[in-house]
Amino acid sequence: MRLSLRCVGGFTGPAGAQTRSVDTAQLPGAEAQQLEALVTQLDTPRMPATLLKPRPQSSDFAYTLTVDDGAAPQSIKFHLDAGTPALRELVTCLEKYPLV
Amino acid sequence: MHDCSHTCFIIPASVLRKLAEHADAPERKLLLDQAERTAFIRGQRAATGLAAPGLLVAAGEKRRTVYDANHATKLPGKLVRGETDAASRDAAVNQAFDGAGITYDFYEQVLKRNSIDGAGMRIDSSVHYDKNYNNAFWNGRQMVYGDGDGKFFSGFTSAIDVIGHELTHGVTQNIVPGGGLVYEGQSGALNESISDVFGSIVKQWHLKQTVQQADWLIGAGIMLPAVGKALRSMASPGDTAVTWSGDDQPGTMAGYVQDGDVHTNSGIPNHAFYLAAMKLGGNSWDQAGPIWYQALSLLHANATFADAAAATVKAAAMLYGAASTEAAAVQGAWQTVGVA
Repeated sequence: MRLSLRCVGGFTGPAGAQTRSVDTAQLPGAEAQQLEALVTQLDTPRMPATLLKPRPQSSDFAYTLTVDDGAAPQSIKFHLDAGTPALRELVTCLEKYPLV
Repeated sequence: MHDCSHTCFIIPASVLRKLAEHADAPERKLLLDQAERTAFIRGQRAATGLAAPGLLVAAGEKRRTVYDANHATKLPGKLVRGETDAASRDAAVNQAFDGAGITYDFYEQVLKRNSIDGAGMRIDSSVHYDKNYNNAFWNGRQMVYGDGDGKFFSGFTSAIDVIGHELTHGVTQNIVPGGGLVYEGQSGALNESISDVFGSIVKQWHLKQTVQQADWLIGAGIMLPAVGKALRSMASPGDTAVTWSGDDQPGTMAGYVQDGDVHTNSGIPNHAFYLAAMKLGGNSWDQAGPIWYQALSLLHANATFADAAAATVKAAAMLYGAASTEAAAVQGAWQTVGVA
């Protein structure tokens, strides 16, 4: 399963968009299991396309998570404060991996 | 006129502005300042991310702290420089410290504003955020700077307009009634533009440049030379010859991008400010800047470009008179970009 997290905001906006991407098949077992468990909690088939704050401020970055398990990739655009606990934890976990 | 800077908070901002219309210049300035502070109090009630306890310092006291995030994402990081500390060996630390000071001094000396929140907020900055991080941002409480990836961006603390831009997001958050401009659509583009406007003015003020001498570039020097010269141009939005190949900013409503990013459509109000400042001549911080600043308290959370045009024209009329050349210059600038 490949997970990609794109983050846009701040001074640079789209020009400085930050993307992290990991393939769980390439990770140590425990790391892969943690990420896949969080994705399971997202319930991707029923995941909404967006989870955005009604009144975002300049400090709210726009995240896009794409989950590609080999079938149809699923994406969700969200603000951190509007995300589910699983989404927020996924962001925290994915931020440990280098930017691409 | 007696000092009523505290008791006058009970008078609505709209009444203070009305009184200002009929006052002489010194009294008008005082009344408008009070109107802004009153709007600020209202904004504070609705704002999220208010200054935390301990972030407030005595009025008029500049207080800066810089932290080193050590290439991680946990904030603020390790404290490396306080207000009375000697300069660091780390250039980014000193640049963040100095840039925050210049921006503080601009707001205090030119616009008579006591720090970001108008109430002496301490200015915290963290440098060396994350690895290869191509950004700088205001997170609602502090400044955060990446070092760039060395391929596209070379760092952000060296550009004073970047620092002025981001700290102005804090100012906007505190002045615009209702907790700041909502960061999407036209209100979001206005939010970005206001930060570009004051980021550019802070740079011009620091360099003592007239509007003719200024480069009107945003983020000059933060990109590697092979990538581009700057991120945006207020004089010529979308002109890739003076910015970089990905510059997609429109300069007028003819190029407005429906559902476009806030960093894209901000080119339109940016250009309106540039045109007004050029028409007025001299220094941007003498007339155009105070007009835009005064207009902030006349906006609302979902303000459109048309609202901003009306607010800046009204602010110019309040400061200089409805029939003034200043009001006409502002009106003309917005008309040129297709808003008013």
